[in-house]
Amino acid sequence: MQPPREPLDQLLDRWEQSTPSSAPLESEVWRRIAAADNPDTDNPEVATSFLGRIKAVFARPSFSIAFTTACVLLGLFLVELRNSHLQAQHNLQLVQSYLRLVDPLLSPSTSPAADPHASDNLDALLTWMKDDLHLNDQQLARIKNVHQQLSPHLLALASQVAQMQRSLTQFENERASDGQVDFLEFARFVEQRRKLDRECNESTRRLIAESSDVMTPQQREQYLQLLDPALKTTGGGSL
Amino acid sequence: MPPYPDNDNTDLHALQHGDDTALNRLMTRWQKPLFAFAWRYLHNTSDAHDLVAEVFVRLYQQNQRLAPDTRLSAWLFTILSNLCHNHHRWRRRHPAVSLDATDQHDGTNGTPLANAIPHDSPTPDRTLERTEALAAMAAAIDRLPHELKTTLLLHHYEHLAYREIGKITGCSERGVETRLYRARQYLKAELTPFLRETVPS
Repeated sequence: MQPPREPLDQLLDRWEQSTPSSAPLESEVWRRIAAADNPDTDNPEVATSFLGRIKAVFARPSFSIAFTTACVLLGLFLVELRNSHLQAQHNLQLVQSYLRLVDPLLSPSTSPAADPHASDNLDALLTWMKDDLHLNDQQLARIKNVHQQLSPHLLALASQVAQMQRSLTQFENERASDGQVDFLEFARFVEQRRKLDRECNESTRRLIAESSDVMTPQQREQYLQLLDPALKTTGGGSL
Repeated sequence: MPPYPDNDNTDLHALQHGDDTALNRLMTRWQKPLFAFAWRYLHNTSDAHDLVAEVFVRLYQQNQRLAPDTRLSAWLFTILSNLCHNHHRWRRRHPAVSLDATDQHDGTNGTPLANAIPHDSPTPDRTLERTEALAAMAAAIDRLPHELKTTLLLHHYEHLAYREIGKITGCSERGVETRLYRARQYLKAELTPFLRETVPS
């Protein structure tokens, strides 16, 4: 049974009678479908213009938002890449400085013995190591102690290396000016140099080993990995 | 609303298998109710025509995404009501005088008042009152919130069941009932002077 109709229903019914008839839709719908399938057909100028195509593509909000997002992400990625590259370069320089500090055979002309700021440099490098390897204060103190204990011996070795470098230059000058070489003395020199090289390598290895002992396995692995590229670059592979 | 689900599913199946003429059959079947809904929602013939065309374009473009047992009427009215809602909001933010502005809110489809008067109308005064009542009702419906308006139009003019309206508007049958009650209460309050004078036409 139908509920009784209220005056509101009668008023609503009356609106129903005044609905206009709609025009046929088919042609309009198919025109729009064709235009959507081939967006350039409506405007031949746009179709032939590359700029027009670009404009048409960017007119879509979804595409422009996606494009902007992609640009921002790409920018962030490039900035991150550049930072990472700069950081890697900086790390390599620090590692090389560190190696020059602990290996007397490397760059004797700028050996710690000749550097009045060697102790400042050591502090700076140890601070970098602390940050990079996440060393705690106790580890840092022990590693600093190791470096300070071996430092006088390393300085002495560096001094000897510099001295031998000067001797070699003198040999070379005499050979060039006199055309003669004292082979016995030169053989002694070579033997001394070999002995000094072995001692330098041994001292550096000892310093690295003692420093590594203070570290956790992960820190040790990272420490040796840090030294590895610098050793290759500076020719310290003999370590 | 006429029960077309079997025909709809057959045509949807045909459309999904490349028979484009199925879209023409669906347009023939659904254009009138969809247009009536859009016209009552927007009070504008060309906008209603435009949005209904857009619904069929979307049906063509998205038919592969529809499940074979999709209730097509619900899908069509869902898309259309969303388009109407968006268009109505856009119109509110960008007010403009329409070329067929005469059919705005007067409920007479832009026809001259003289033509809107039925020939058997008792007196010109009485007819004028009825026309005013229609215009007031159209304006009151236009002021309803989207959910209430859609529910009222689908129920009263498209004769959809609560369940189907619930599918379209995204609420339960109980929610549809509540919305319908609220819409009617609002209209009654807004149209009190006209309802007292209303007599069966």
